[in-house]
Amino acid sequence: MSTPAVSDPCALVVDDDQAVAKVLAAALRQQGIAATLASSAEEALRLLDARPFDVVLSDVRMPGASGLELLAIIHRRWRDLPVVLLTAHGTCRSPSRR
Amino acid sequence: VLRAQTSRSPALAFRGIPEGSRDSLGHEVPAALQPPYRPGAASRLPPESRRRRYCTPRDAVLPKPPNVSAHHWVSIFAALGQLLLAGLTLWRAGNSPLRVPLALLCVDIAAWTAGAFAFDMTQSPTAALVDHVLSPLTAPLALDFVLVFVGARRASHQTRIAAFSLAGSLSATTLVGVVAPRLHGFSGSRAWGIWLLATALPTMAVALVTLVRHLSATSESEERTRTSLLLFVFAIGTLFGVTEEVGHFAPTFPGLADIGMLICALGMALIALRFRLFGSKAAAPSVLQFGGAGVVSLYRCVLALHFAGPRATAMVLATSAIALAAFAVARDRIILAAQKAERTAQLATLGRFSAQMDHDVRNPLAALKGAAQLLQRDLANPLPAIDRVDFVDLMVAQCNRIEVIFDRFRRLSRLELLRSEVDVNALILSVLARQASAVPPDVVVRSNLANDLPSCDVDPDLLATVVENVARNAIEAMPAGGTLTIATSPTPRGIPGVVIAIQDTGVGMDARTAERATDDFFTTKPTGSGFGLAFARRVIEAHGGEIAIYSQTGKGTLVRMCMPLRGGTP
Repeated sequence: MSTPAVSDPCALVVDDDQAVAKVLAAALRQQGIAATLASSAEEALRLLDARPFDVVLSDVRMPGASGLELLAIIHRRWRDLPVVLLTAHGTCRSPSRR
Repeated sequence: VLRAQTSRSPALAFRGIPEGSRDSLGHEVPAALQPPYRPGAASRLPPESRRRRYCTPRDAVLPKPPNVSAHHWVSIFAALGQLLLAGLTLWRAGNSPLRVPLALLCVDIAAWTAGAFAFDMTQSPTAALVDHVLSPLTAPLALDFVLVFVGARRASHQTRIAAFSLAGSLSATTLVGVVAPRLHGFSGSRAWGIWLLATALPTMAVALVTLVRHLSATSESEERTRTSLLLFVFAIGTLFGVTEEVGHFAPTFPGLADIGMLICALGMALIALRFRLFGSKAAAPSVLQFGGAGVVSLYRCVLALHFAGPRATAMVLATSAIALAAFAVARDRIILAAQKAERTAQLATLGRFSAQMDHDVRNPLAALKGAAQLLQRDLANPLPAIDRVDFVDLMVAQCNRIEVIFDRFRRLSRLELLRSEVDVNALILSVLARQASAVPPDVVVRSNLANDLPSCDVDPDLLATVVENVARNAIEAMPAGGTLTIATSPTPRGIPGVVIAIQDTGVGMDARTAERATDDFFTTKPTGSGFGLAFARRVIEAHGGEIAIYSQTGKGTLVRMCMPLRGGTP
């Protein structure tokens, strides 16, 4: 597996489901986007503190802090960082309320 | 039976008819001044004298014109009122648990009131039989209604059985009297009256005491008003009903059962219309419907009386036919509505199961599809940085995950327990973590988990699904927000176990709804399936545990589930 160049855009993929995260990261790498995996919102925050990312892709339902809570923290601390929420709930109303 | 017909009308004085050939003061009345046939009079006379003086064979076939007295109008009003209440309750009371008990009670009262009235008019033994067989059943039916109203029908199962057995034995003996020569004359006799009082009075006493206890235990104002009014209606019904049998011992005492039943019909209509007896969600019959149906029925009754002339038999037949026709029309509507409700409930259950399965399968399916698409592209045009073996392994793993999910759902639907030692606190925390994103922002979730909780031998999948369902129900019961509290504790006494208590501060349920809340397919939500609490009950009972629901309208609901530590079957 080749490592993307340092100048490539990099995404943080946050999902407690390892299989989904792995496939998502592989798909991103095929598009030339470097992907780093985090299995929880807490781990994602640690990684965000350590280095900058261009985009965050996060699941909504996760053990511990949810994707919505992660979104709120990111918007407070890294206001310009885009966050894409992914959910298996096709009819989840909570994200639209925020 | 013919003798029995005399007993139901001790109210001769009330009806203004002098006894035999004497007037009300006991003076002899000259034959020329004795009344011709008058309605109600015959029933008070000894059968021999009635037959001899008034009831020639020709009269028996074609009675002379009756005068429809005020008393008879009261009977007509009472029977029609009770019939209307029964019909409209069945039609419009939704899925209120009071629907069937109230309808049965009203039909019973209407039938024996009409039977007594028809006997007064026609002296038909069949009419008297209807009266004497059905009137003993009124008290147990009233008790049944009261027990459902206070939510104690299941807890008082033995009391109900006893009341119905006592009253049923009197009705059965009355019926047997038709064919058994030794029992001829029993129906409606003094002994019959004593038997009736001996069964009905204790039954009604239990019903009234139950209502008083419910009144003192309820703090909600509307429920208190409903209970007070029901107490009044049942007390009036009991008092007035008793007067009908007191005539056996005090012949001049007026029989006021018809008036009592008319007051009951009006009172119940008031409680149903004004005080939402069937709950706020059930479509109670509107004043317009109730009044309209009443006016139409009465008008038809008057028309029948007018066109049939004063022939009482024809009039009774006509009103019976009208009532039957009305019931036939209502019956189709009722059956259609019941079928529709059942179909909707089953589809909703299917929908809820499907939605959960859809959610669980979606993640592995997404991974499976993504990996397959990557490999598909790789086959067409080899991609860099793709570990094919790794992705094929991932696809096989996702297929296994999906298989496990289907297996879990099969066990859920069949309640096949797969027990293991489970830390209940950890299980609850994992459910709460999964549910976190589904909790609306205005709902606060609190957990109060006991530190010293022993591990429990349960099926973790089933128990987690139960906690999830009950918690979801609690959240849905707080549309305006509130607090959801989940607490655990060791069982305070008895078999060692764990108590899981899930409490909300939502809309709550009345006692009747709470009693039926764990029934399969019972729901008060317009889009609900009645799946959550019924499923919880079945899972908890399959583990040998118990579930109890405490609820108060406007204050919230507490679902308390006790699970034994070790496996056991109920």
